[in-house]
Amino acid sequence: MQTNSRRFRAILVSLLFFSLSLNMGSGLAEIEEGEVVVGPEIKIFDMVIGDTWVYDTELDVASLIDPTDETWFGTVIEYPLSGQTTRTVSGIETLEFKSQNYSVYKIEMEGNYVGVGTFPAPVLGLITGTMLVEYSATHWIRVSDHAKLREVTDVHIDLEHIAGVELLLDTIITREFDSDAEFYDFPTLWNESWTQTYIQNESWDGDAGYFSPPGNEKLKERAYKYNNYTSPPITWSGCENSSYVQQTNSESEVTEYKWYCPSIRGTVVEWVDDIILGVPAYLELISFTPGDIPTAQLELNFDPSLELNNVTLNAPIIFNVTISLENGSSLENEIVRINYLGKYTNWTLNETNSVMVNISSNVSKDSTTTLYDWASHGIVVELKGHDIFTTFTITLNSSSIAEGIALRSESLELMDGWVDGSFEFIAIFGEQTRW
Amino acid sequence: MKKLTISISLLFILLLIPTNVSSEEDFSVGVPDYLVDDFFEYSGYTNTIVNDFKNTLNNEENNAEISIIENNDLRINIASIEECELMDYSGLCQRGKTSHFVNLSLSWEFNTTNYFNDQMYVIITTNEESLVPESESPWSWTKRSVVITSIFKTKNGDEHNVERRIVNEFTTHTTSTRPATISVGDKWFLIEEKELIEETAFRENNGLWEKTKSNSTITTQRIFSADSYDLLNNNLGIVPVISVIEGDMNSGNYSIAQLDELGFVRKVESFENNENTFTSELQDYRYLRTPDPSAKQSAHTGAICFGIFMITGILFVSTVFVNEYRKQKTNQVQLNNTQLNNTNEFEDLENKLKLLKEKRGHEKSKESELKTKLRAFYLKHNPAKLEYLNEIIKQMEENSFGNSEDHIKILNSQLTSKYGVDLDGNKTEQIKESIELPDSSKRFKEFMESIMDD
Repeated sequence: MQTNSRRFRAILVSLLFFSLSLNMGSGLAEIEEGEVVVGPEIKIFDMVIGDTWVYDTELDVASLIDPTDETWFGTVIEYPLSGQTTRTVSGIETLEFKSQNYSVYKIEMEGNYVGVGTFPAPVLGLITGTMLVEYSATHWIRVSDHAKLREVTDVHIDLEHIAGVELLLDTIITREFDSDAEFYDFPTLWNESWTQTYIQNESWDGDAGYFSPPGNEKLKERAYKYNNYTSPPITWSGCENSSYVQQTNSESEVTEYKWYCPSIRGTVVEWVDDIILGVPAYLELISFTPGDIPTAQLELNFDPSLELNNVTLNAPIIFNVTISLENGSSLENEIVRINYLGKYTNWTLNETNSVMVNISSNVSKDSTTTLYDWASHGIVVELKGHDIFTTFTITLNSSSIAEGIALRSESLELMDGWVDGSFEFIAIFGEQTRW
Repeated sequence: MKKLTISISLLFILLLIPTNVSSEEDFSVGVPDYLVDDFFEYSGYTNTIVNDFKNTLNNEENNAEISIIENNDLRINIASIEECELMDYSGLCQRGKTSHFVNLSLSWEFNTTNYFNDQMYVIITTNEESLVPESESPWSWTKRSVVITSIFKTKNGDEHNVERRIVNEFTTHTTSTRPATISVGDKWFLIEEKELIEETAFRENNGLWEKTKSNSTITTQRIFSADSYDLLNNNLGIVPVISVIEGDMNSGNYSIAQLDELGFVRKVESFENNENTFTSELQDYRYLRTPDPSAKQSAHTGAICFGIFMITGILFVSTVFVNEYRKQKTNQVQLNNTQLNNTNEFEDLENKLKLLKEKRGHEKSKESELKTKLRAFYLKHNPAKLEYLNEIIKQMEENSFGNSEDHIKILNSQLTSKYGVDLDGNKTEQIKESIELPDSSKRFKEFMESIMDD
């Protein structure tokens, strides 16, 4: 009897562990109550060519299905599609984007996902099968601020059922953005929030199968905040605490989050609301293989009077670049390329392998409005012809920010007086015209 | 002859003088029966908004000059008839969508503000959705959103915007004594209990909406009386209407809605302290149940016009005929060949139209026959699939499947394989596919067959 009871308990415990293991990606990251740990500033970081991350991935296909839509009556996708996604920095290159030139990381993604689903089939009623998704994508990420400029995805979906295999989709999807889609607003300060608006253009090339390409332009209004520095949902050495940056739409619904950890030059956990085809995806890191770090030292020296976080408009940015190779060989007359605001300028190294760079901060605003700063821009310093580069960020401030704040407040008050008053007419109009 | 001409002219003039609609011309107004794609466009809303905004600014001693840059009249569309659940009602509902848009420019005297060029743009967008049960039910639902966006630049040309949004969601229970049809002299009241969820929000530069939500219940009583028959004359023609007054005219606070014979509102006016505060008039519409859709004028107006035409026509023909008879007593009126040919052509057209109607009727009955057969089939052999019958038929139509005898043969073949019996109850015969399906349905058919074969 006692043995049976132990067995029963063992089974119960096993079941409990099993159910816990199934629970991966079941919800959003939550901020634990208690003492808030103040997180560090998230500075722009350099990825290394060859850096490879592998993530356990779940695709929440069921969330796409509207149960009230008669096209999908009877559809059951009980569990998310699961598989692995591999992400690799394959190189850096120059990309022309909106008539500007940028240094970008070329990041390759590969993934295979599987899941069971039941779908309505005409005449027969319902059919159950296994969905097989092959996913490969290339993302071009700007080196200066990690903004995504373009992504091209090749996606192939089959439904394997009792009688064979049905192709559901086989297409190449290209996404471009009218302005950069920047996730982090480097340097990301603790408790900072910022917003961004851009238009996503999507084009399909191939067999759309059972899917319909979306409309040409999708307006994305996004808001971000960084106010959580705690343990991510998985344990990873060196990432015991990570920076949780959350993206929401303008209605405050979470659309994306990332647990960023500097020691792996990337994220330990991610959730995106539209990895492709509008499918939400949850990714947990299972492996990180660093690329080969260049042996060259790239050193930047700034004038002590220059405050990188408080640069005035059209101010000179002066700094000295020194590059030293491990073997000590000379780089005299080699070219250092500076990539700033979509333009390259060339600077020639002297006999000490250094050069004094002098560029203007300009007045260009960025697409991530914090309401309280003008812009933050990354500056990329590259040894031309080599994969040796680094990046730093300046934040521009302007006296007109205060003016903007004041006018926005004034304008809101003007609307308040109207809306709260006799604007009631709008509310009763509908009732007057319909009987 | 002169006397006769004068008499005819007088009669003609008398006939043309508009008269009040007398009690002999009474009519009653039912409830409009809207169909999907019906729409109604009303003027007046933009003016109300602009005047209201002007008054608000004047009260605040703000001397902005307001001009309309762009404007869409308020438009109500019947978007769909769909299944819905409203409190204890479950059944078909009519979804209406209302929209309005106006873009205003506000400008101030030179250098009196901090706005660039002393200018601001204000865009007001109103959208409303409503669900009204198709069968009798006291419930209805409305969600209305008004967004006011102001756009301006700082002195250095940096563009900013702020937005205000008000979203009201009502679930309304109406108790009404309104008669099924309204005639002058009718009085009725309605009590509306509205559960209101109100959300006001604002945001700066397309950022996060800062929201405030509140719930409340509002009960209102509205009293109506059908006051008079009138003729409404506007760009849609002369239309007989019943004027319905809401409220008490003696109090000075009331509104008048003018309903046409089909039951929808042609004009609304509101008064406060006997001053007109709001006027809105129907400018354009499509009401698919209009008795004669090609002529938007009412049957009543048509009858008046037809009467005038007939009487004057008879008088004119009589006069001419009498004169001509006097002059040419011996002349005979003959139909020429062209007229005869025309008559034949009309007959041909009539016949063609008849044939076309018959053909359409036949096609329709054939389509519904397939559905009926499939329903009976599933009822007998697989009742669980009845739930998907409409979807199956829809898919078949979309894939051009089931349009021909050959398609029916294939369907029968597949059903026989699967259930051992076809649509007509034949049990053993296996019908071999002998035709090429259209490309559009090939894939779909192959997919089905691959499953059937297994």
